[in-house]
Amino acid sequence: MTSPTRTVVVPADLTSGTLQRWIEAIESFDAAGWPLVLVGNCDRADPLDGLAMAAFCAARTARIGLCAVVEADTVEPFTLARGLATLDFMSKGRAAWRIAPGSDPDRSIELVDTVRALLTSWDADALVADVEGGQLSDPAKVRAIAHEGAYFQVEGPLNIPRPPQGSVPLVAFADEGAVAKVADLILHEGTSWQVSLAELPDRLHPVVPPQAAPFPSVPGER
Amino acid sequence: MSDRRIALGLFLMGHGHNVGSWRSSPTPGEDLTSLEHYHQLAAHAERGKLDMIFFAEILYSYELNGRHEGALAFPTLDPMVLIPALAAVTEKIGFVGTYSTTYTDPRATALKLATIDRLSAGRAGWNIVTTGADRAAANFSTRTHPGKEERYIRATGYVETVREAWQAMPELPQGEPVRVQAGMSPAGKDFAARIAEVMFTIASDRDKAVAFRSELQAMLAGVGRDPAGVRIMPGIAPILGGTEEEARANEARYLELLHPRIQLAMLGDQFGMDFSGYAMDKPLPMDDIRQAPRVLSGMRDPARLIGEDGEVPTLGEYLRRQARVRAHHSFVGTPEQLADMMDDWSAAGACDGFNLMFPVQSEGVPAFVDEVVPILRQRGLVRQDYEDTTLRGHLGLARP
Repeated sequence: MTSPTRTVVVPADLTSGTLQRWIEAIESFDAAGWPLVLVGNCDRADPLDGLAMAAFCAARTARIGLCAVVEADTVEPFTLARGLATLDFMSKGRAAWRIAPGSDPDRSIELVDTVRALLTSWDADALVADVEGGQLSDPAKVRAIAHEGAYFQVEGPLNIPRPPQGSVPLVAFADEGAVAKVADLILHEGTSWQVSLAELPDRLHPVVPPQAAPFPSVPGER
Repeated sequence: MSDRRIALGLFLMGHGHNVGSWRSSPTPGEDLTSLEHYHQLAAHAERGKLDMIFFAEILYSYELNGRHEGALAFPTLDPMVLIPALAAVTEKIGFVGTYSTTYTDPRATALKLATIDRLSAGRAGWNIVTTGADRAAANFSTRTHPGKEERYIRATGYVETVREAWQAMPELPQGEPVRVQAGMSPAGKDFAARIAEVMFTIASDRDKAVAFRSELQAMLAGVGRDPAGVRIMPGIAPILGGTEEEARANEARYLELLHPRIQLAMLGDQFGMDFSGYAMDKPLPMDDIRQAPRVLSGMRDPARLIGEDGEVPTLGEYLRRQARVRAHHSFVGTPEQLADMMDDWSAAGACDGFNLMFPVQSEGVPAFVDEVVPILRQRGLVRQDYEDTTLRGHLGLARP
């Protein structure tokens, strides 16, 4: 049996008990050229942190995109932006994020806006590392965001440089309402493969690299 | 051979604890955000069979009068993302990540640490901080940074919530990640006596460290805890050399890394004041300093700028003096001398180990692992090889 040609992997049974086997499966998906896997689990009884899991997988894989499922209601934008920027650096530009289903939609939208502003608060060439001049970053290329919203007030800038992808793409399923409207990549039934360990074939169907990058280009310079 | 053991932590911070250490690297910008940079140091520490690697957390960007301070603003990655990436490429060494109890949600923190404990098969620790820097508040939807007392009250409830969350999850590899604490104020000590399993301290005098450890052990007994149940590890900033002369030459070379621009920025950061317009050979502008924003908020006492002789130093003199002063114990000498000092502190009961804060990590980590660890091993003060697979096991801490 070969796997279907749908290319975004959505683990259906990722728990503390299946964690090690899922890491091995993600390594196989990476070797077979699959572009993106969603990691994290917001099951109240046995949750796993998406950013930590994606970071671990980043160090064990070479090419696959790693989308961290994020519990949005318990995180401040500054913390989340720090985590996403770090993941993008650890994976050399393979990070993405998804807001866990069931999160407060209004708060989530403002969270997305604020995180994006923080992730782009350094210009891509702001880290000058000028040894002779004693200057690590160029002050003219790093800006406060001064966000004043209903849920968050964040001065910024982030204390991490511009991530490799320019920002970190937001992934959402088409039926996820307001969050889907602001996402960078929309998943449909036909483009994602919700799969449990037991359903994985012995040999994964290799995926031909797509013509275009899996993510649309992100606003701001690259 | 000794039956004493010295625990060893490596506190990694960018290129090192010298604020100008990035200037020693041929690829400073790339290193700061690369897994390979940290992996190389972690792998070396693991070859030396160190107990753990420690990462701090900074929740604001350096700025002066609303302008980003490019001489100080080095990136500090999220420790709870950097650590799982490093756990994937190491096998035995433990990792301690700092996360604030003032600016994060306990449910989120519990989940991060639990996941890292699973991914690393029991190598996770949490440095519990209440965040001393008032500048973080502006990034966390808070107008005012809460006072110390209020922060420790919140921290106590926060830690309880985190531990309850851990207990409610399917069993974690260590039972619970290791709890680490670093504050030495009365409120911090009281908090440590109730919740810490490892304490990072500041100590540069052996006898004072002995007194501190006895005091903390009495406090532990007072709250019904095992006085031997907490590992006290002072920070130390070693500068090594094959001879004393070489070590002193290295120290001088490290001071040169502190570019005048970086030193001015450090001073400006202390007082919230721009010093770049003042002449290096003129006395410190004491009248202006007394009016500086951070003096008014009580952060620094300008009287401390004046020398013991009552003379006001020039700006240049002050910067040179300041560059040498570090809160943590700095040590300059040979590997043998450092091993002797560690042995002596351990024998005197001053500590259970050390948290190593090298000014320039690319030089300090290999020098320590390759030249100091073998001496400590010969004396039976550190392990020959890992005897356990978890951080709790390395430190000899009981499962909760």
